[in-house]
Amino acid sequence: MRDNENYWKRLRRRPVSRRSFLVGSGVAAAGSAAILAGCGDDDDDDTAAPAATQAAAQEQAAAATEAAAEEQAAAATEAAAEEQAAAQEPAPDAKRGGTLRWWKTGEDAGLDPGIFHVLNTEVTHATMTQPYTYQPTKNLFAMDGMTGFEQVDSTTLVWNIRPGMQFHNGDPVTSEAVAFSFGRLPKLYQALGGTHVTSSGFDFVDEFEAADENTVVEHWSRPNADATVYRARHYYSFLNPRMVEEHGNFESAVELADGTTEDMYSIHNLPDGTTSGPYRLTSRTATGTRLERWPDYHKHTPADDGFVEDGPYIDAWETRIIPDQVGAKAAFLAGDLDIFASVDPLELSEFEGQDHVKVYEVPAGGRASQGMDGGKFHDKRSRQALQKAFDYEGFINAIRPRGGQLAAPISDLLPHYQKLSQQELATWYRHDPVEARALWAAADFIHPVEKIKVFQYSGPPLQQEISDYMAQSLATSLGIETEVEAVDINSWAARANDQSEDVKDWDILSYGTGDSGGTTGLPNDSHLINYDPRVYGYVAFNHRADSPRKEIAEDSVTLIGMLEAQEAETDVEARAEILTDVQRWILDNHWCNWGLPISSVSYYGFSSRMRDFGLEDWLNSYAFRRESMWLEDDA
Amino acid sequence: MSQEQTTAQEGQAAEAALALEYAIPPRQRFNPFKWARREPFGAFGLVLIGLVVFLSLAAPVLRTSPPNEFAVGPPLAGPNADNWFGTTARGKDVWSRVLFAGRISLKIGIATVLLGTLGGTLIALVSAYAGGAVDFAVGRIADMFISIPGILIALVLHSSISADLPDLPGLQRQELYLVIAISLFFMPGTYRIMRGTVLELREATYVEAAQVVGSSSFRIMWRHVAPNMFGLMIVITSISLPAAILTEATLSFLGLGVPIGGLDAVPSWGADLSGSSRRFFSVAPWLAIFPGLALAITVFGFNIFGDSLRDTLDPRLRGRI
Repeated sequence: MRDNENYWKRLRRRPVSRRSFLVGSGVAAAGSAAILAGCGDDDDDDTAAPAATQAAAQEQAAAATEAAAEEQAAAATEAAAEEQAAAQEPAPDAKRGGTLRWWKTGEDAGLDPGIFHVLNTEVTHATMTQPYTYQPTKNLFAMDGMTGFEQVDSTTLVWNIRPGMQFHNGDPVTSEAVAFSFGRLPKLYQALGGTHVTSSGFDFVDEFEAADENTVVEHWSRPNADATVYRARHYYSFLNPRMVEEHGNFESAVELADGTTEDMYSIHNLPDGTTSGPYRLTSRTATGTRLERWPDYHKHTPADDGFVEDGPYIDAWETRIIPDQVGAKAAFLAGDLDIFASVDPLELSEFEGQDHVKVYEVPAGGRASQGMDGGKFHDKRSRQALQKAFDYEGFINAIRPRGGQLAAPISDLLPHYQKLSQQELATWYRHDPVEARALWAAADFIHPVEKIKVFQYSGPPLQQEISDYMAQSLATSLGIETEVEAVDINSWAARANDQSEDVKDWDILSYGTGDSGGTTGLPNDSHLINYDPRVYGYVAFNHRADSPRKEIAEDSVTLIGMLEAQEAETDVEARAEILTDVQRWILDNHWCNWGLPISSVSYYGFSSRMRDFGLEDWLNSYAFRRESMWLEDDA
Repeated sequence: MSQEQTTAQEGQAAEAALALEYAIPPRQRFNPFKWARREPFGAFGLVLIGLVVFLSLAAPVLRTSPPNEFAVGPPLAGPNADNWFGTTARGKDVWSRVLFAGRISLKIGIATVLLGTLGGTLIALVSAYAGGAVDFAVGRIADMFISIPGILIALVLHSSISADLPDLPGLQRQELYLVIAISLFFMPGTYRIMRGTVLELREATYVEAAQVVGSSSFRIMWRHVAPNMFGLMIVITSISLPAAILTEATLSFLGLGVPIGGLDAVPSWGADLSGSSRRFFSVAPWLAIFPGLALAITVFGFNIFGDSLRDTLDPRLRGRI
């Protein structure tokens, strides 16, 4: 009997079985997907818009001229200025204040201002007093812990300390404390065997002297053009010597010039009383940090750019740890964050029509570096082959959706120093696979390179995509096997700087995404340091004066001479000429590192309630301070 | 008719009735069309599986580009005539990525299920048949693994052994790690189910008979117990496979799966649902829809096929195909 029944008859008699449930779920899922796809709306627009973008990108790439770049930068700056002006209008009768909600991707690894640790700047900038801030785009010094400075001669700099300042525990900020804070940096550098505080910031200083109650004098061994800008960094924050010695971690004893030794301490937790800045660190946990305004903070009289007499206005800074940019974006769009300074151009439409957020277009100024191991690529032709094997135009089309530009050794954010045009840069950055193969075949390799390993740190997806593009481009053009290796940032840094062998265990060191970034205002930082045989050229890229490869050693000496000459030249025009020669020398010699095309613009998102946040200040690396900033809703 | 004759006839009739009652139905030739009529959803599942396998294996000739190639189309282009499933933020073709990603899902899924099911079955066979301390010890180890979340096992393995594993033919180091991690997740469950079956089969009359005639334990396990576990093994395999594929996608989504970067990076549905793509889901929903749909269809196909297979191989329904 049952054999005569068909499936459908039996099905009708059954209760809902697992299979039926699965089928129903499947149909529902497919239906939902179809509805989602249909409701994505803008199908036509979405298709057309990227096509238009692509066309624009191709046009832009093809005509990557200096004029276009300048025009774009000017337009961006103008638009930003207009929007900034609108955002700066104060509410006259309102109380200015509020809680700023920020984010970062992870916990800091320490708070000592003299040691480079990532993810700590919201604390080190806001809890400490620095001599002043420097705005590179405005070429402007705004006084904080100093009331002024004077370069009395080419080797003497005199600092005037703001009277009446005190640390958070009530100890006075004295000239001795300031001289201690400045003077500990080279010694700490020595004690730790080097930190990010590069020696070029102080290796010309013989002594930091507390001359009287409110005066500190720097005595130099030779002139230095960058010292005054360099002192704006948070490294030069004022620290309480008593707290550092009582609560710091002993690092090692260092030998001083007079033959004596001094114990050196680092201080990572900043116990209350260590610093004298506008905010106190009240919470530092695995979920974030909280800073609260210190009521006894010194007055800025008269007020200076970004500083106000009755500031800072903002009551508290809350920084949440959000490891994922997607999560941070969602929080920003939901109104839970006030700043999202990494908007991708392709997601701009998500921010449109949102009244509570505003996205600003600014010059990008980033860097996407590709360092070459001088131990293997000691022959100039091999480095030239790599650079000619890279498809610059294709890279812009694939990676820079809103247009890109060729990157000079010095950032375009420093137009008074960076004088190379896009046309001139294009003569070096030219994709020519045929010539690349010829150069590669002719090059001398002491260590044969059978396979090119591109080495990067894991994290930003864009970094991975840049490395992938590099590997693909080299493989296609040179016909050589390539691979990409990504490791965590600490392992990456250790292997990048490992000098136990003549050659690195990688071939190309990929770092920097080139989609955004600020500048300190110094050509060395932006970005000559990557080529410098005394700094990264030495430790990371085996391009150094004591290289066992004769040609690398000789060229290093030449470049060091040019770099020292520009560092000593205080006249901007004369220095710019030297720097132009330096850049041409670097590009002619395909020296150590090359910069991939960078984004022409980047996008910063701010909540609409932020006022007087100084858009240009956000392009200022290392020294962000804006005490006039406030939040409207909380007023 | 004598009483003896009558008794003999009654005895024959009773034997015949008994034989009829306990008769093993004659083995019939498998008719796929009949099976498809009886199990239309199972047949539909098989079609879906076939489609996924075909699309994955034939990906290179199905109008695809290399899945990691940049700028195949404009960035974030919606589905169009050139790029059927649209493109990613870097202009990679989503159609190509979805098709090639099927390979890794199927490869990891099948390798995992084979290792997990075969391993779990073998351990169950030996431990349950041996009994005593061996069974007890193996049972506690299985309990231990069952009590640890699978993701945690994957995390530990990822940070401990994944870098040291060798590249095998057809299975790269990272893929091998995935196979081991997911197998460890499935093996204890398979062991638990199979152990019960072995305990039941161990007491069967024919096993006792084999013991009486002096067969070795190995022979009994191999010739008399194992063959009777085959049907259940097939069912477990068909049910575990979609779960293994989902686990691979989950681990890839969490960044513990196949490498998502690098020249030789293998696209994975799970990885494509995470990473940089997630950032653009709201402006480019096709980045989520197509890999998600492919994953859902594959899992759905295996699920309903496995369900039908269970019914088909059920001894109570034997002979009805």
